[in-house]
Amino acid sequence: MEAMNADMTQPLSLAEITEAITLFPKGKAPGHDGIPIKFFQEYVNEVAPMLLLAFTAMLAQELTLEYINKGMITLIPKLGDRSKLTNWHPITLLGSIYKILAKILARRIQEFLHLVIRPNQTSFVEGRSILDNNFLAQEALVWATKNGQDLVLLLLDLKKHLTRWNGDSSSQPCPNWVCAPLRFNGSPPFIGLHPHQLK
Amino acid sequence: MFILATHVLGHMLDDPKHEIEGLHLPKGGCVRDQTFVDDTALYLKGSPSNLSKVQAVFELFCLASEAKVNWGKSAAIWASKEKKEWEWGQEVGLKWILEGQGV
Repeated sequence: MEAMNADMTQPLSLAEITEAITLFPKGKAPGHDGIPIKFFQEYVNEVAPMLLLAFTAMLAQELTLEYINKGMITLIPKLGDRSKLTNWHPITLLGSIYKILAKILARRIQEFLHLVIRPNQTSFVEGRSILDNNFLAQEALVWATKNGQDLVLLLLDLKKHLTRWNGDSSSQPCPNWVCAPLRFNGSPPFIGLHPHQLK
Repeated sequence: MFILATHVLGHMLDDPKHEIEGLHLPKGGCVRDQTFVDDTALYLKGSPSNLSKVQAVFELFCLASEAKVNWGKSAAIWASKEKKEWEWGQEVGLKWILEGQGV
């Protein structure tokens, strides 16, 4: 436990930042600052030392996260009638700098995830796959029948309880990690919004 | 968040005090649940009393986590040499898929 903690909380290194930057897929949409990941990848030798300074200060709480923890909600059309709000899907575009820091931290945690997440949970752990569930289900049905065990495979649908907030004043509101203004048709939030952009 | 919640659920199902019988594996051991994020599949011994114990665990879990089981959208698959000679879950709208009816 102690060793794991020491490993995860050790100071950031330049190599770690460089590695995280190179791992990102190319061509993704940038966040509110308009700087795509590609910029960081092209100039990795120049920007990595600066990021190291900034991230180290942020993790030490010497520098506020205000600049990087901003998102921008953009609506993407789904199939069907676009005059209906339900046919639009909101996604939050996050800034590249935030994503780099998040990836660095995620990579540190990832190494130990398999120790804390039960093997029954097949998501989010490297080396586990959703296909494992299919194989187990098929094998279980065959094995149970062959072995004379009466098996019930119960597939449960849980309502998404953790993604809604019931608004009860006694429960904690969502922590204010990410501020995400709405944006229409690609315009910056609430600035220069012309009627023709609100098609 | 889902991982944390289903982690607790898994331990509740495996807790010996609830006496839930899962699927006995060829090499020993017993599997009761498998999840992908919040999609949960339970491997259970097919008897009404066992299923009722599971339901009781879920009632407790839902009370604590504010989750709700959508029984109408859940399904149960029966796998056995024998025919199923009892009913369970029809009052909550659980759909049964019996062998030979296509899975």
